[in-house]
Amino acid sequence: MPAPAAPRVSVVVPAKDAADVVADALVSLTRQGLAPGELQVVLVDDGSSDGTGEVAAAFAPRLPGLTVVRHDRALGLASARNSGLAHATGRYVTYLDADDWLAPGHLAHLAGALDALRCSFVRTDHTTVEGRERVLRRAPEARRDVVLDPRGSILPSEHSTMVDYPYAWAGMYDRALATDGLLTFPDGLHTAEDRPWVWRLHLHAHAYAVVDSPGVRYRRGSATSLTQVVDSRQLHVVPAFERVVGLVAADREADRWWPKVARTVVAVGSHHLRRAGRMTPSDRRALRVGVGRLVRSLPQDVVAAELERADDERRRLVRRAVRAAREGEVAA
Amino acid sequence: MTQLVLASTLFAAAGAAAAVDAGLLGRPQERVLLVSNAAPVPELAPALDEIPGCGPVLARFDRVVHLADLLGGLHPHVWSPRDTDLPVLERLLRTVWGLGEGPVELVVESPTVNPAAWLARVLRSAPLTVHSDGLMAYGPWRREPALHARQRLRALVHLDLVPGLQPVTTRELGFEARAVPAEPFLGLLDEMAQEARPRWWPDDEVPTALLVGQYLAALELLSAAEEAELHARMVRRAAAAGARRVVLKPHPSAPPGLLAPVRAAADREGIELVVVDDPLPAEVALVAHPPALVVGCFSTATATARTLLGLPTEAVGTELLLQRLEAGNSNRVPVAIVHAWARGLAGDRLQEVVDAVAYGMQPRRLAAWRERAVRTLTSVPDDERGLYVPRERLTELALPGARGRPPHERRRWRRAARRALLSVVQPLVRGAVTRWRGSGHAARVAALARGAS
Repeated sequence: MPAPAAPRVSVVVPAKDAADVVADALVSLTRQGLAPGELQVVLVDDGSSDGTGEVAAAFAPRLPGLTVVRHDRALGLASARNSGLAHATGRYVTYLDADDWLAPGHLAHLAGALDALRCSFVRTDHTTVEGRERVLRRAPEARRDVVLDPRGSILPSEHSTMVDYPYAWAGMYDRALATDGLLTFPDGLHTAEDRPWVWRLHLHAHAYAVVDSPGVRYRRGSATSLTQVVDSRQLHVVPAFERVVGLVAADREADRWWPKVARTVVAVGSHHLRRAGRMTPSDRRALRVGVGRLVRSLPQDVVAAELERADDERRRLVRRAVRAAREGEVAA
Repeated sequence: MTQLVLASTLFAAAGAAAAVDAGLLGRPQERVLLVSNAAPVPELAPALDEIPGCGPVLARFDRVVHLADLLGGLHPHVWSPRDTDLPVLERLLRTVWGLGEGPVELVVESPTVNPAAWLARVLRSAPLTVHSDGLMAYGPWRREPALHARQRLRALVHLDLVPGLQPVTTRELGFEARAVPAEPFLGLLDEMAQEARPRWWPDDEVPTALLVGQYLAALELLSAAEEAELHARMVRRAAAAGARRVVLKPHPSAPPGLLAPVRAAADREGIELVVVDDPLPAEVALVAHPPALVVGCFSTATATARTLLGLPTEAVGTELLLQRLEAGNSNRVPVAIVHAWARGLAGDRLQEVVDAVAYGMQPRRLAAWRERAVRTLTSVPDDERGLYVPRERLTELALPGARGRPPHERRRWRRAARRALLSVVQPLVRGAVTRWRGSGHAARVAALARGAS
């Protein structure tokens, strides 16, 4: 008997204690306009204790090819996605968070776009949903349905661009990118794991497109989402951006990108420092020193220019962090 | 005249289609069905024209257009255009929906709720007919329609689920009620059953009860645990009535967690449980394979089963619901009707109770109904009074069954009491202060006088 054809699309769904919402994600996956056998769903049960895995497994009749990967211990979103990717066999791969869902036909539309445009990956808009309030969030690239150079969507630094739209779930990717490690998330990172991921895609992939999809995907607003919680996981923003700095430093056009990196580091760093009042004192100190070291690792003329145009509060927070880093070095 | 009929569920569209067959929706040149998907998460539920079995319903219309094509990911209950944009929108809608330049007539479900509300604002002079599919047809609207809508209300078309019962809205606002008789509706359900052939209904002699789920936890009336227990009670009631099998049709939005307690209850009773995941309205199955019993809370399916099909029905949980529902919640009338039916009320008596419930829900708009409500509530046992109209509302309105004085009277009493107390106490206090001061007072006055000169 001939081996079954590989699926067209694999969807990696990392899920931790999502038993009350994951059914919505999975129901939406049954309505994607793909024939049976074209879709592979890889649900990664990341150490759930509420029966998430069982809820997912019950969808097997409706989602042929459903694979449930179980981590007995929670490893975090980045590692869960990597784990799922390792089990993916589809030509194209994408991600869906357990508390989100897709509109009907979305995956078929993105797969069709990749077929037609023959680029490495596509990105899309999304809609945030809070209760019944729905707001369309556009990917910050207005050129649609045409093949673009990913490096052409990194600048300018003064505005939000595609490297500021780092959501892995807002697109679809040729699985061949995985062989170059371009789809791997930094293991063990619990915050901002998608920043180095999106930077690496835009620096190293060759062609991409932003497509309008009639089935724009939906993101549920949630009080427990990581953007609201403040704890020591926030510290991972430092190693996440250290990777971004490393990626840019190794790039042949680093000088083009430094202003953008400086802008992002100042913005994200001061955002976390502003909220650090809710952290423990030692975490707060570690965050300050970390951000300071990050800023000091950037070309200082670029940093100076960025701080000049930054607002007073950001300038104050960043300068204090830089001082803390310098003192930390002296002490050590 | 082009007639635009808005429907958000297959059941509602079927009701409208039956009204067409009954000649209750006129003879427009063109009848267009406007499909809206009003599920809490529209992306997860099929639109009414995607459900197998919808063919006969769609056949009563010349064309079908979809609101989702216009709104995209925006929720139909939430989006609403600004007033300044209405004329622009009218031109655009006439073009995109092919409504032409001539007069348009609107047939909508709830005229005070979007999208019907903004459609009525856009098509500013369109005569308005309301079609209402369930027991909610008999109750008052939560909000009064805007004047421009009130002025063109033509008729309320509703399924004759409670023969003889007059809807509240038509009497409140002075427009016509048109009840759709059973035959055209049953005939339509039959056609739908022929097309859909619901295969999940077991085809044997085992006495089977249909349990109709509602997902009340979503309305925040019950906790998930209470809802699960309610469903378990339905199973026990079915078993007690002699069913050896129950078919549960959970509400499409109900979470998976609902099923475990139901299964457990069925196991304990030693009866078989069949769970059906079919978006087709339960009523179609009732026509195709009438069960021995229908058990629900206040689902329209129980009313359809009872009135239109003459099937035995049982209501579970109406007392709990009446205790939990806010005084003005629109679900109050459906629950009250089912509750009253279970207590043997019918005919004029049922009308009196429904009107009293309505008065409790909208005491200002229905002020003229107060006297009758008082008479009705006087004749109802006290514990039942507190169910039909919540105790706080009875008290607030000084109706029979009130506990103590109404709040505004209590405030007045407190003020009056305070005044009375002060009028006694103040003179006593003043007198004491005067005497206390008096000894030094004259001396101080004298000293001042010396100082002044």
